[in-house]
Amino acid sequence: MTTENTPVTPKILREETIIDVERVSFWYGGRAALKDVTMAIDRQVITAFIGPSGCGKTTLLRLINRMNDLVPQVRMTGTIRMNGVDIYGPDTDVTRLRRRVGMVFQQPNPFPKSIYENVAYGPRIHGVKSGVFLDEIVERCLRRAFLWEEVQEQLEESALGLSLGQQQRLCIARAIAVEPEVLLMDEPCSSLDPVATSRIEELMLDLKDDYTIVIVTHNMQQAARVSEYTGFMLKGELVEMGVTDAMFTTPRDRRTEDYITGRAG
Amino acid sequence: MGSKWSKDDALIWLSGGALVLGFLMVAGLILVIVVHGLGRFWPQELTRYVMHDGRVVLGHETSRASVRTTGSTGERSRAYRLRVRTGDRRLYPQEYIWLEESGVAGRDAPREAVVVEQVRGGDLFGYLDSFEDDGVVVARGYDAVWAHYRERYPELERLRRQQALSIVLTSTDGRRHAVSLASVQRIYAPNTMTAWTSVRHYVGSAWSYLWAPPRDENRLGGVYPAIFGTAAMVILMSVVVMPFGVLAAFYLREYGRPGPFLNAVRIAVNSLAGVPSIVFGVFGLGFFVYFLGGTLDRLFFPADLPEPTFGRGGILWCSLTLALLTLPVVIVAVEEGLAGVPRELREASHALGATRFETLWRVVVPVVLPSILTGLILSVARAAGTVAPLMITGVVAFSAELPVDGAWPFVHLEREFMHLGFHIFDTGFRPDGGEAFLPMSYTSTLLLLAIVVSLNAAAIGLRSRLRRRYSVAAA
Ligand SMILES: Nc1ncnc2c1ncn2[C@@H]1O[C@H](COP(=O)(O)OP(=O)(O)OP(=O)(O)O)[C@@H](O)[C@H]1O
Ligand SMILES: [Mg+2]
Repeated sequence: MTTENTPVTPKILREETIIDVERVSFWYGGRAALKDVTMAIDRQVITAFIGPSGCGKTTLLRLINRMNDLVPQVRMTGTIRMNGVDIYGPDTDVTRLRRRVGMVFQQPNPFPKSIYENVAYGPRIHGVKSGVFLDEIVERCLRRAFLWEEVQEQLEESALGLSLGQQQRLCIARAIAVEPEVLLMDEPCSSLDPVATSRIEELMLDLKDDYTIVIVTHNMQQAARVSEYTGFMLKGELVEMGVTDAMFTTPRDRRTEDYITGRAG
Repeated sequence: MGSKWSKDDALIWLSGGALVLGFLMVAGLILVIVVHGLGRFWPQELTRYVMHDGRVVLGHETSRASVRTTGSTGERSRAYRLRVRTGDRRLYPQEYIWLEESGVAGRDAPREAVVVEQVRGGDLFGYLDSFEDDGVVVARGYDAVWAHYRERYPELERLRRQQALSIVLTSTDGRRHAVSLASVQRIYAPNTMTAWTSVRHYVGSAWSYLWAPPRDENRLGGVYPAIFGTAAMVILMSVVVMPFGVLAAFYLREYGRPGPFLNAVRIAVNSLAGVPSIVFGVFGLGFFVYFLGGTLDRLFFPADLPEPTFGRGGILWCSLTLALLTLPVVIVAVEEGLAGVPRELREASHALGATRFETLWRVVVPVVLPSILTGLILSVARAAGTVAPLMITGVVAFSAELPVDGAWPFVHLEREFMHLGFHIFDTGFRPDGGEAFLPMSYTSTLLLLAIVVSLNAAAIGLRSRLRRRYSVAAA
């Protein structure tokens, strides 16, 4: 999928790295939301970001697929590269980038269309016209999202009639229907009950064989359960990032320890 | 503290009272319109008044007024006067007369009294005398004439062309009046009607009100051309205003960069909504009729000049004027709809790699479709009820031609046309013999009111459907 012909040498040259963020700061109007964040995200693992509310997790996530382009009066410095190519560079096609970096939002947000049309939306706008192809894509993605069994009889019914957990899995199916490389998930379970949450977690573990998953969560147990790497953010700074188990057992920074043990945040 | 409470109470009573008063006034107005507007089609009994002075009058009472009189000795008393409709001026000197109630010796409802509705002219009240063919009496007496008429009624349309057939009526004072069958719309004897025939009469009258052309200078008959003209104009207006309004709203909400320019446009749109409608009429006359129409005439119809083709009032100019008038309605409704589209939906679409246009077209437009329809219905309701600007841009009280007919090129945008709102104005404010037109005015008011109310109800229904859709999304 990578056809960019202007390779830029990334600072952190590791084979596994798919996204690297270098000295990124970000402002909404005059207010800083991210301060000098540097990190790398590896291929086909789950990376989690934790931190108290308002620390900039969503902002960081939305920079990776340039969703913040849609917000007026913002400013960014630093570089974000995907496969070594600056995604804020002049040659980047934003819609192509977003197709490669899918996103699942905090609140399930299916389109007010049928279940089928929700999944077929992405492929359709990227030029798939054949009904047979679309049928095939819809079924594959719904199966992948563990939703097929539940909805195969009601594909033409409105997606808004599904339960919240089903809607969120539908949103995941919709996101993977455009075959992204990276899946950004912003607190995907925050509006779900424990059963639905564990289904989504199962799904993530299943998907990581094919996708790079970046998840933002408030739930530290969730981060511990599903992720290989975890980053801890505080007031716009990335305080610490490392292997999940190590981070939860032996945090290097006092602030991380305070947050994990519940003394702050 | 006590005084504060009583102030609050006073305010509550004041505002509550104002509300109740307003409600009662609206309810009363609607009641008056409904009673007068719907009662008109019911066959009214014909009463024969025999006066003490020997006069005999046939007609029906339309109102009863009290008058104070002062007798010769100075004592005051109250007397009543009856307003009686006596039928067409061709048979009687006046259509409406006053009768002193004290002068009435007796009254009854003769069963042989009939109403003859004429194709042109008003209703005649009288007694059936005879049926004549070319001056030769073929039937005489109420029953015979009635039987004869009933027998021929099915082929009335054809018989109309035979000038020779006529029905002779006698008036209460014994004068005879021959009515050619050609000019008879229908004859009925209200005093012999049963409940069932009355209902049939009612439905028939109401039906022909909707589907027949007007008679006797809009006083009687139907309003079909006015309904047709109103509908045609409103459709034409919608075709013009919808694309402009929707595009303007999309620009304001989706593409325009917030700033002084956008604010200026918004203020302009809101001001447009507050401009008196007659100002739009003046603009329409000056710009559309004289300037655009005059230019069109000079370019395309120079042969007909100085007789104007487009350079005078017509349905096209009326529609364009109303399109301007209702533009803010559409813009505001659609903008409101766009503002209600959840940001999450747009983001979901963008996150899948959709462009801005794809997002608008595939996600936003389907969601705002109900708002667009709401805008359409509200603007149509507004347009259907606006009269003032039309009076100077092409509406007429009576027009024999419809703006769409079988003659090439079928759609005649330059034609003057009839309009329901103007019809009400025309029938409601006649300086002379005004009361003869009032029943028509009431019915047309009711019709227009019904149209506007049902359009607004449709808009409200659509909007609540839209809301429900979002409450599902938010659940
Ligand atoms: N669209 C916006 N406009 C202005 N300020 C914003 C906007 N979005 C976020 N912010 C601000 O940026 C800061 C970081 O917000 P962000 O949403 O990234 O935090 P978060 O870590 O995701 O918080 P939460 O856990 O509550 O979702 C906050 O102070 C927030 O108020
Ligand atoms: Mg967040």
